Amino acid sequence: MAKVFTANRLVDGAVVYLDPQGVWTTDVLSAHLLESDEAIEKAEAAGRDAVARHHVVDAYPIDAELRDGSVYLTRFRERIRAQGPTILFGTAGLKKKAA
Amino acid sequence: MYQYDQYDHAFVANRVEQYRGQVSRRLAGDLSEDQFKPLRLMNGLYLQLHAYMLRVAVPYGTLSSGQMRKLAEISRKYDRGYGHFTTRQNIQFNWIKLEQSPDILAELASVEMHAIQTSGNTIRNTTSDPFAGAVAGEIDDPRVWCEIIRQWSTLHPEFSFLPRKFKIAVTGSEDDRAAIKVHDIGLALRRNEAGEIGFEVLVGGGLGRTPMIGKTIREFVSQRDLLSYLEAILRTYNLIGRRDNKYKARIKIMVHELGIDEVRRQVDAEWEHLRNGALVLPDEEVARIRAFFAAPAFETIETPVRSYEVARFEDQAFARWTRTNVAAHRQPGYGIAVISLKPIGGVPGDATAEQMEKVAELAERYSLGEIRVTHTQNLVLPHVRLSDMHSLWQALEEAGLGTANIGLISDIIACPGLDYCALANTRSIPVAQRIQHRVDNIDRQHDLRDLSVKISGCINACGHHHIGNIGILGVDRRGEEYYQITIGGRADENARLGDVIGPAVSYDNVSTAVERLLDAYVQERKDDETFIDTYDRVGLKPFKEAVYVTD
Repeated sequence: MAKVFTANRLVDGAVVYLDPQGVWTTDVLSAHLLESDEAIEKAEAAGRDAVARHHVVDAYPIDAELRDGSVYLTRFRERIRAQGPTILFGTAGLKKKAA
Repeated sequence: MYQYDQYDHAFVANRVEQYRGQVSRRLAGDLSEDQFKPLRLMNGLYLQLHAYMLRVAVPYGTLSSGQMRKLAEISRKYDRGYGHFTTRQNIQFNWIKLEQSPDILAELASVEMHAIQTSGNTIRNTTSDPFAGAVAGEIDDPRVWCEIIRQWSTLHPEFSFLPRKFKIAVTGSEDDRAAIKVHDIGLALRRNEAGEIGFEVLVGGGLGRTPMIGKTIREFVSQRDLLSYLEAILRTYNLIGRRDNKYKARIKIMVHELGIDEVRRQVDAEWEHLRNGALVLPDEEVARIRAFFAAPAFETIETPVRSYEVARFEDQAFARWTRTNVAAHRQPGYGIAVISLKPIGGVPGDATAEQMEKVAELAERYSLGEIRVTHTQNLVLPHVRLSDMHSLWQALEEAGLGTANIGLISDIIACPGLDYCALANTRSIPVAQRIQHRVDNIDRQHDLRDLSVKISGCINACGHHHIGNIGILGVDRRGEEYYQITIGGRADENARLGDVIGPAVSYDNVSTAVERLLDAYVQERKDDETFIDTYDRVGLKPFKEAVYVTD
C-alpha cells in the first residue's frame, strides 16, 4: 500500500505531512503519496533528518491511497488527526446548541 | 483554601524557570526529543493527536474564583477559548504551543497553580470529595489531609520514579463521592472507639485494562501515623512492584499477585522502621494546615427559607434543577450547587472561557469565592445561600450552565477519546452526544432516575466505564469503531465492576443499544427502583435479551 509521511511540528505540535518538495506542510492534500519502496525509503531518511534537526517529532509512515484524484488516508485515526476533532468544540459547540 | 507561603512561591517560580531553560534548549536543538520528553511530561505537557496538551493540577478539585479566571484567561490567550475538566479533578488545554508553555506555567504560578506530577510515574494529584467542608455529616474535612499528602508527595525523591503512576483519593463522608475504591490508595476518614479520627486504608484499586476494587489493608491508621503508613506502602510497592511489564506495574497487580495479607505483612514490616521517625505528624502542623480550611463565617439563617420554597413552587424548571443539582449543606439555610458541564449535545467536561469567567463571577457573588471540580467532570459552588439559589440558577441558565441533570443519564463521563487522544482506539464524545440526544427530554431523564453512563475510548478506562451503571468501552475491530457494553457497575461506597452484556456493537448501534437497556429497565422496575436496583434484583438476562433482540 502507498504511504504518506507524517509528524508533529516541534514548536506547536501541529500535524504535518511531507510534500513532494520535501517540505513539511499542514495540508494533507499536499502530501506526497509514496508509491514505491524507493520513495518510502527516501521519505524515511527525510523524516529522520527533520527529527535530527529538531523541526518535527515522531515522524512515521501512514497508509494512504489516491481516491478521486486526492490523497486519502485509509486509517480512521489518521483522518481525524488530519481533519481535527469530529465534534464541535469551544464556542462553536455552544453556538450550535443555541441555534 | 491553602495559601502558598514564601517557600511554595519560590519553589514553583524556580521550577518555571528551570522549565523555561529546558524548552529554550529544546527549541535551539541542544536537547533531543528523547531527552526533552521526560522533562516536559514532568510539567504536564503531553503531545496528543493534534497538538500539545497541558494538564494542570487542581489540588483535590478546589479552585478559587481568581484561579478560575486565570484558567479562562489562559484558555483565551494560549488556547482556543475553552478547557476540559477531567475525571481526576484537573483541567486540560488541548491546543498548546511548546514555545508558549513556559509562559503558561508562569501565569499559573501567579495564582498558586502548576502542572507538576500531572504525568509520569509519580504520585498524582490527590483527589477528594467535591462537597468537602460543605456537606453535613463529615467525619473530618478531607482537604486538610489531601493538602498534607500533597506536601509530602510533591517531588518526593524516593517516589519520583515509581514502577507506574500512583493515585490517592480521600473521602470524609460515608457517601463516597471520590471513588476511593478504584484508586491505588483510598483513604476513608473514620472514628475509632475512643472517638479519635483516623483512616481506613484501602489499596490496590484501579481501572484500566485490569480493573480491581481496592481492598482494606488496615482498618484504622491514626492521624499521627498517616504519612509513615503511606510511605511504608509506597516503599513496599517501589521495591517489589513490577517494572518488567508496563501493564503489570500498577500496585493493584502487586496486591492481586501477592494477596492482601502478604502485602499487609510486608507493609507492616516496613512501617515498623518508619512509624516513629521523621514522618510522625505533629499536632501543631496539622492545626496549621487545618486553619486554611476553617469553615467560612456562615450566616445564621432561619429555615425553612421561604423565598427558596416559593421559587421552587412557582418555577417548575428551577424546582427540577434543585432536585438534581442542589445537595444538602451542613449549615442551615445554605445549599451545595452543582453546575452541570453536560448540556445535551455538548462535550462532557468542557467549559468555554466565558463560562469559566461566569462561574468565577457567580462564585464570588454567591459562594464565598469557592469552586470545586468533580471527578464526574462538573463544577460545584459549595456554599450558596438558599435565598440566592434562584438567582444563581437564572444566571447559570443564561450562560448555558443550568442543565438539571446531575446524576441522571445525560450526566455522562466521557474521556476525550479519538477526537483528541493519541492512545484512544475509538471516539467517546460523539457517542455521549448521541446517547444524550436519545434522552433529551428532561422529564424523561428525571423519570429514569439516577443512572450513570461512563464511556472510555480505549482499554485505559479514563472514562471509568467499568464502574458505570452502563459502561461503554470503545474497541477497534479491523479499523471500525465498536463498543463493548457493561452494566451493573457502580462508583460509590459500594463500588463494583460491571458485567459485559454480550458482543460489542457498532458505532451506529450504541445509542440504540442503550435505549433498549432503558426500555428493559422501565419494563422491569418496581416502585422507585433505580436502574442499578433493578439490575441487582433481576440480573443480566432481561437486559441482554433486550439489546440483542432480533428485529
